[in-house]
Amino acid sequence: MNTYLLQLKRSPRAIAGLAILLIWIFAAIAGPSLLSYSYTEMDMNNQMVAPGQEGHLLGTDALGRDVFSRIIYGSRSILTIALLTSLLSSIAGIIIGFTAGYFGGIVDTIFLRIMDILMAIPPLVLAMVVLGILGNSTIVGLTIIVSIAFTPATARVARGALLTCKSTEYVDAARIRGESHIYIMFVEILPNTIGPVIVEITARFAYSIMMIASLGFLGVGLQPPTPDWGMMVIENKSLIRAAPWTVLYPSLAIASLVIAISLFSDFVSKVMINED
Amino acid sequence: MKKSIIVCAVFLLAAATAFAGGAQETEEKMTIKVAEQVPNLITPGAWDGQAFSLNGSIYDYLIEMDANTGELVPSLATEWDSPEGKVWTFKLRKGVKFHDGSDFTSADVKFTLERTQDPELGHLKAQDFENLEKIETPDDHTVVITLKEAAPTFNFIFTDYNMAILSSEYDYASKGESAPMGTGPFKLEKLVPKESALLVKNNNYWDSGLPKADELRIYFVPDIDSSVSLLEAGEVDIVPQISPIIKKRLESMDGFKVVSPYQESRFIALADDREPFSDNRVRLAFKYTMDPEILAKACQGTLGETIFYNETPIVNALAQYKKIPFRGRDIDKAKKLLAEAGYPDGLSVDFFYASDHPYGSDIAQTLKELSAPAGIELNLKGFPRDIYLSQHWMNGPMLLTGWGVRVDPSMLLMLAFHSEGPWNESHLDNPRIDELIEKIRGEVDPEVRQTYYDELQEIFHEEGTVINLQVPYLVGVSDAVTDYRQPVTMLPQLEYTTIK
Repeated sequence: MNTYLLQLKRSPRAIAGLAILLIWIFAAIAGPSLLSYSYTEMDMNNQMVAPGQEGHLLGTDALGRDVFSRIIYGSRSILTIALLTSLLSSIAGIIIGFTAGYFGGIVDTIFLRIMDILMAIPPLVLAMVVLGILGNSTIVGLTIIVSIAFTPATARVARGALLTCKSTEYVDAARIRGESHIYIMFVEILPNTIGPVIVEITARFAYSIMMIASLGFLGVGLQPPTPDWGMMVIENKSLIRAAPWTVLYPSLAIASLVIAISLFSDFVSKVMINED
Repeated sequence: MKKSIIVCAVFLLAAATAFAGGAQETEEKMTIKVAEQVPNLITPGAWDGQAFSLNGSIYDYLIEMDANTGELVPSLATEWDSPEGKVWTFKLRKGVKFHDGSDFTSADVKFTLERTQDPELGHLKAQDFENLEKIETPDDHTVVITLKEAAPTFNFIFTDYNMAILSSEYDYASKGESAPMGTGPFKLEKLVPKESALLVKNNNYWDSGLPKADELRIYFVPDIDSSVSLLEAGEVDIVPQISPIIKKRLESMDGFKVVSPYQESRFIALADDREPFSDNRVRLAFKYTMDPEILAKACQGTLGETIFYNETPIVNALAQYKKIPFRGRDIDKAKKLLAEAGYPDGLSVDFFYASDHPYGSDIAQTLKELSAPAGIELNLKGFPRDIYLSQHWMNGPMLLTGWGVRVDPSMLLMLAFHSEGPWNESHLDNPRIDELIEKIRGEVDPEVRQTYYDELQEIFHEEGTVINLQVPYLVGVSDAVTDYRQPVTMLPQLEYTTIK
């Protein structure tokens, strides 16, 4: 553990990424209770107020809603969905990928072909089609759909990781000991392949943020008035001349979060690969 | 090397002449370019009110409306008369020809009217013409219509956008959508479905001197922001149905203006036949949460100047409107009414709307905010307009829909508030309202008719299923456009329009 901290100290980029990420996590958890405006509160006497005026730090939108409050509230849904999505798709991917890789043969072929079919459809298109058919999206619905869309990629990574240790001596030893397949997969192999898996989870986290923001932007994300960042951008896109702050700040929020996670996940992958 | 330079020079010269030729050609022709949001074309009679530039230019109507004065003016009919509202005589214009060269006669009017009763067509004016007893055509240019019951405002129906006069010899069933044909100022030259339409000047148009432009190009662009980008880039001259936010944007730029030819309605329909709004106390509770001032601001306007609010189907601008004072926002009263109706802890209801329609999303979110303190939770269900209209409109517990104003309100009442109306979106079934709508249609004496209108509006205010928010219909035009005319009939009169 200490070596990780030591390496972190030596990487200013990772520290910056982690710091931004922690600020957003803090904003999501504690932010809403510290705000003076609710995210839906409409101040009709202060429509499209510029940042810093009338007590609105980042200005207001066309309905007189505080942009700052909406961004802070918006961090909740996006972080929740992104975190759950990266975890769920990784767990599902590990189970599928490990099963396919471990048993090999016909099981491997069937799993791989199904994953190939799913991968042939771009995740964003797949999510849009499913959300379009289901109609309105909720946090649960979005999480499940984005997880499904990401699972093929994580399954391939997991399968690849498993194949590197499948024929090692400790696996053979476990087999000779008479351990069950599940034991071998998740107790013997998983801890030894945890590096790539963690890298995959952190990378998925950044992808999820992009995906959720994109879905919101395309109008199939969360429904208004839930302040989804992507939706805020599209909702205000015609205001870009009259009130640029309504588009700029949610876009910056998306960008900062994605960059922060990317910086951090770069660090994670470096550490994990060096360890190997 | 030298050779190649000469070859290049020749090519350049040829290209330059070609471009110069092209430029000359476009200079000669005056083209109006419009971006419409219409998803697809529909056989005349069942239009849901989108392809107005196209339909208004290909077809003519018996009677038109003057865009400036709002008065009915002759079009294909030169005069009309009915002493008692039961027998109507229309004199038709002579020398009018359809685009296919055939003559326009009384048989075509007869065909158009009889077509409304075709059960397979689902004509939206079917009900209005159920009242027909017989149509006589004593000569080629006279039509005598006898009604079963007197209808003193019958002539107004002919200004409705679905009453385009069709040729009795043309096959509209198979060609109405792909090759629409009428007597209008422009002829369809080329139609690329979901993409664009090219219309050219009808040189035989009955009103000599019109149309003023040589060509009309209509681009079908479903997304309003893309349409406005085309306008800003100079690719089109006219973009109808823009949002108030885009209005602000265009007004801040040079070279564009926004015209507002008339007001239109946004109906918030509360379904009469399903929970929770089947109980009038819930409807009243909802109405007590309304704040017209706030709604007006959400629509970027001022109450009483650009935005109007009432709880009846009649718009404030019409003579038939009866002024009823606002009930005022009263959350306590709303809560009490909800408790009486069996919802002491509040309720939640799905609210469907077209998120990409001007004002749609803003009104929906404001309604949610306004009604929340009383314990009414609106689950906003926003969809693109074509999906909203095809899948959710007419069958949700609560709807937000754009409605054009009908010059004679009885047309709208029959369509949307009579229990048998084809567009009765709130599924209203109130015998007294049905009776009043029928009486309004038949009453000859305007004063008596007004008493029916008054009673109708009082009933709507107390137990109606609609909130009527009136917003300006906005059209973005470039400064090159002069004389853009569009009366309340919603049909643009592009024959008068010129491009500098």
